[in-house]
Amino acid sequence: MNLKEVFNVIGHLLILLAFILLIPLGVSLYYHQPASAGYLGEYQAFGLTALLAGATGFGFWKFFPQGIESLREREGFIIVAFSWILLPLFGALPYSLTGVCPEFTDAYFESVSGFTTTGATVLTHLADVPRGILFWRSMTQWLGGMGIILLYLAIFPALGIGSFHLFRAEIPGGVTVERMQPQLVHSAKVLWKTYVILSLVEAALLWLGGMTLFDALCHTFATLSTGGFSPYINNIDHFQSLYLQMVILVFMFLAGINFALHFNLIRGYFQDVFQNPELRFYTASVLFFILLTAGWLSHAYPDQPADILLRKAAFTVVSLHTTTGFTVDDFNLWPTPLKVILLGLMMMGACSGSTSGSIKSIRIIILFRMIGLEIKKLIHPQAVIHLKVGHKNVSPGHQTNAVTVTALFTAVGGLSFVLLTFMGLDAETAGSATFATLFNTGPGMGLVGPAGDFSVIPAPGKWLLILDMLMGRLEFFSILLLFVPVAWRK
Amino acid sequence: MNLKAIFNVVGILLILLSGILLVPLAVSLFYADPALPLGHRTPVTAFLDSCISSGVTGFLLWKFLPSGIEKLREREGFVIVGVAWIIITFFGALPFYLTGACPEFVDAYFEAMSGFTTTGASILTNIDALPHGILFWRNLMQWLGGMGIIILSLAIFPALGIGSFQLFKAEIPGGATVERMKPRLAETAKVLWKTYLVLTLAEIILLKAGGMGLFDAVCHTFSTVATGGFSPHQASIGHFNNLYFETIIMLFMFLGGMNFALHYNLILGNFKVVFQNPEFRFYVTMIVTAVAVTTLGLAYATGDSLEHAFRRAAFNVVSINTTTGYATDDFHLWPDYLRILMVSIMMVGGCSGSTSGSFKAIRVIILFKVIFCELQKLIHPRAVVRIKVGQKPLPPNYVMNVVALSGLFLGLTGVGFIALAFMGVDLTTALSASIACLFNIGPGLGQVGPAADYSQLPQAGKWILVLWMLMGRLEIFGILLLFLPMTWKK
Repeated sequence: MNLKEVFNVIGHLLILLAFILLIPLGVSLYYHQPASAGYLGEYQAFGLTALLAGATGFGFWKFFPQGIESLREREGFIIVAFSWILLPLFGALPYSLTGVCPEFTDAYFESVSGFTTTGATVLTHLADVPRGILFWRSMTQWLGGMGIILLYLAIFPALGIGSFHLFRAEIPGGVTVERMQPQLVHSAKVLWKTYVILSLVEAALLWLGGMTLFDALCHTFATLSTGGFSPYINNIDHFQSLYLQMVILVFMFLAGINFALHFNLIRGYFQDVFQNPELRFYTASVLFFILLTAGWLSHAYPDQPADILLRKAAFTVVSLHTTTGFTVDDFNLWPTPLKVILLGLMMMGACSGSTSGSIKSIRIIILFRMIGLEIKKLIHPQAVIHLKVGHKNVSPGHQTNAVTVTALFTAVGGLSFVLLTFMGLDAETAGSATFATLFNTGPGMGLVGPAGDFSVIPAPGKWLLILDMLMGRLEFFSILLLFVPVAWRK
Repeated sequence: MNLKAIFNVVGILLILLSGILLVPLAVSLFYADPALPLGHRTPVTAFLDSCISSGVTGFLLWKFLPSGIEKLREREGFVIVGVAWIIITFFGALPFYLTGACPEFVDAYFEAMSGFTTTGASILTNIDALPHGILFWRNLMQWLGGMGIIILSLAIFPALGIGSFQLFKAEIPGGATVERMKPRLAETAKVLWKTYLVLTLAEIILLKAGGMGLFDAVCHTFSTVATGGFSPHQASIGHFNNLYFETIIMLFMFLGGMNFALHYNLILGNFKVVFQNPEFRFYVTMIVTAVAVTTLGLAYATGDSLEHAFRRAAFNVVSINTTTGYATDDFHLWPDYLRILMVSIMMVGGCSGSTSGSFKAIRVIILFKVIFCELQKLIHPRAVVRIKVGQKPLPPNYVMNVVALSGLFLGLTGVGFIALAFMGVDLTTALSASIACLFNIGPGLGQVGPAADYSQLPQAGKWILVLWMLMGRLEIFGILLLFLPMTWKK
């Protein structure tokens, strides 16, 4: 393991973070809100954090030798793991220094929840939080959604940290995502460009619909990254506007689509897009569950108008399916079997190569095909059948990847569930908190439902959930490798 | 699909069943069982009627349909086993229905299916009041179903020429993972049933020597070695409150959860083969760990003495892990994390080739290995890693089979859960009933916990659980095939 080279790369990323931190610094200077007693003012906190991140980054970059060309796959994973642990650490400083989260555990939880686009919050009084912090909170989601390493690749191709291993380890969907362009740097650029274009469009649409510029930006950040942080405690329900809700719904749906497909759409390759099996599955699944939920709700609440229920159903289903976690209604109060189905939705997630969390549709498709294939083999034992999705054969490597990731999600989920109940949480809260963080959704059920927050979880439980969020976002392998002795051998 | 040949085989099995039904008939005669208040017939005539109808149907099917078993294809093997189990259960349910022990036919069928599949879920509310013949038949069914009635017929009538390895594979718990012990199938079936008989006799003698009545000893032995879990007493093994009985039963539950090929090796004196068996090691480790955790947890939570906590923990853990389902304690009342632990070990189950239900230890080992193999590949991307269990490399086909099966087990658990919850059953009950039936355990949590029974569930829910028990016992594929049109194509 070339640890020194690994830290050299992390140095680059920290310097980038220091520059990015100047944006919320600007926001806080603009609003200039007073500091709470005993803590730093907002802009001081951002300034200090930027300075610290910059200095540390510079130190790493200058004093550790560069050697990225010789990176092996395992170092790629370790870089991703370390940077995802360290960047949220610096990202947590503003929460801590301004006194928004007096406990460091809470600050780190909020920061990890941001970067991993989970959207689980420990903040109970969002109304008292200064605006620079709120902006930073949503912005971490935007950065984490497409990935800060990818951003770096896109901005500074010349610095030579362009390793395909890094790309694969960071992008949601991992090996199942195809490289769009022969050159990695181009792929990164295309992805971020598409991401920025979509963000600009959504921000403009929200702004035109009557949101303030601040709200429009914050919500755009959290929508496109399928994160789900909102500056308001009652979330999207704060805006009683059908137009705004529909814009957010559409963009949540778009954020759940593979960004390579967006790029193809822009270039006019419609056929490519509409014949994509994953997109078809995702769309069909979203439509099916919206209808199911709407039907169920109208059965459960016959006195409410159907169009309102359809709206609630559509928004909630899209929000949970893409693992965003925005809410327009407290689904914790819905009929229990429906809640179970919603938990199942969270598990599925949207497409690979999107910003959504979870298992991803493509893996679910592969699993279904594998079962179908086994059954076919029982009937025709001698037949040689290839596993296909669309018209392409699925390589055995991708098959094992689908299996392993699903098995790990189940096993880690189960373990974390048991540990949380061991800490004294009720089964509903423990189970849904695990789901909501491991699948990067955000709100769970019970005490951590849309109306509650994660501040009720005991501190060791929060650390467990932090680990869950990181494992969910990076799809396990990066984080697991840290614990495997073989990975550390020279 | 060679339907006629299939029913010919079913005919042979029904004749065998009618012969077996003479045993509970004799028991009923011996105890001079009185008729039940709701019954149409006395137990003696009920058994006689069932015996005759099963015999006559069997004879007709056997005589008038051509036999063609030699040409059995793999899919026909599965279909025979599936159809045979459905029909045999029907005739097995007749005594319950005719005597009025279960006035509703769905209840009778549920009870019989729970018997043959060694699940042990009961809908009977007042077990102690039932006639001896019925109680005896309930437990005898478990004993027959444990090793499999088709394998029994292979052992008894090798000459009838239904000796097909397809049938064997489709019926034995563990399916394709079980190795053939003898070159000839009939020999293998004989060895299995002989070992089974030896264990059965040993347990009866030990229980009798400890002072249990002969009737109770025989009944409990039947459901112990079959890992079934029916007891002629409402309070299950808690009825006796006797340490010696508990220890003997626990020991034999443990043995019932072992691969019977290993027992045979033990009898032959090949100790090394047994102790080096990776599945056996895993099974023992799992039980020891779970007992240790549960003992400490119970002692801590209830302030019980360690010794008493150990007694409760050991018995219930072994009972649940082997999917027997006997209870000496209402584990529904244990702390949350212990309840979840119990549900998780239920889902693992005992060894392949044992009488236990569930997923089986070997498959869990294989899944772990797949995950570990994937991690190794990340570190050494070009390495060719073969998945080995013990010294033997596994064929890739086999791994896919395990994966598909685990996907199906999880998927069906979810479907059953949602379907039951939809019918208005509370969540804990719905989830645990779905698991307890699909994994052939018996008691669940909530309304179907060890202290309660399944009688309160809605009728449609009972039919689903009947299907779940059957799927669990025949490891899903066999039953799933029945519903696929391509199975029925010529």
